[in-house]
Amino acid sequence: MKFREQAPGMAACLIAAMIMAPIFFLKAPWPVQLRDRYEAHTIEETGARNVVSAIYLGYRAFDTLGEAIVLFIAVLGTLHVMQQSSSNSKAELARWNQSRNASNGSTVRFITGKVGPIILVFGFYVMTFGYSSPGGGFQGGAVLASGIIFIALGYIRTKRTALKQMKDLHHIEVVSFVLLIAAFFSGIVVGTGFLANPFSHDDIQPVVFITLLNIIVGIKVGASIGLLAIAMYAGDIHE
Amino acid sequence: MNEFLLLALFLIGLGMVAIDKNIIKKVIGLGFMNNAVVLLFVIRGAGIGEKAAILATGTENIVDPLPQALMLTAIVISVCITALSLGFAYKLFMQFGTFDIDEIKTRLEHENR
Repeated sequence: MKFREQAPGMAACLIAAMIMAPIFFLKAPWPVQLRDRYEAHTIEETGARNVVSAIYLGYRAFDTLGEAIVLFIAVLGTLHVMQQSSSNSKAELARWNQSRNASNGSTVRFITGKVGPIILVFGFYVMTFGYSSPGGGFQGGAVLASGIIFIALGYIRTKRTALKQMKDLHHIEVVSFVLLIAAFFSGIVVGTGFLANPFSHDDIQPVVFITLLNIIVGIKVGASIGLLAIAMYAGDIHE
Repeated sequence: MNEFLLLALFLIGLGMVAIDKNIIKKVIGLGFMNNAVVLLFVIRGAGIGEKAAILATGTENIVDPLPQALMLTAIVISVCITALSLGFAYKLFMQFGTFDIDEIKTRLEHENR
């Protein structure tokens, strides 16, 4: 009985193994032309030393735009799903507050209050120096989100504070999303084209644009992931 | 050797999605599959070159930066997928009080009758 239940799943795994194995064990040589081109031209074209951030904010910025939209929709969908889940009576609220108060004691509050801001500063460092060192918008955003979650662990003691923090994060996310789109369209105003770098070599270095986008993307990713985590933490989020 | 381990990781994830009855474990399986694909791309791209893709003066023979840039977005998308599916799992738990898909199915049939 047990085996009969599992048999279709195992068959699916076997078929998937046969289909995926040629992809995983591919012996074809990896093409080097694109790598050579990036190696030779990245610094003069974008000004960024970190080729990875030069690609996702310069050469393939359209990818980042799509990713930002997907993240935005995922946050909206998650909040919508969590919102409808259950009713919210007074007794339920009191139980919620009590359980969260019991789970984060004074030790947790003390440590998160001290270490959380340091994590936030580190996240901003990773974003700002993403053009020349390992890091960038997405990585800095993830660090920022962990700092936000860390602070929320000690700070959120009632449902009201959770809802207020979520509202603030949502505002930050929307504003940074609008800024991102404005930055991507700014090339059209200057005359270099959609998604293109509006700064030329003459007056402002083009790397300014990469750093600006890194910070905007980082704040957006940090706010979105922090918002998702706090929505999970707060449970059902009726006002 | 690396490819064997990554294929095993991918199949473990697929097995968790296909065989396991617990919704939370299915979501974890999705994460396993995503991680296997991300690691495969980064390892294949690092097959050429030796240095990290940061151009100091005189840096030559870097690894291919394109797979790394693509996988950055893939990681964020995987966070989105996990969050959304956990949201749906939470909703199901609120409705039925269990994460077991068999039990959810029997209760649905029971309600419809």
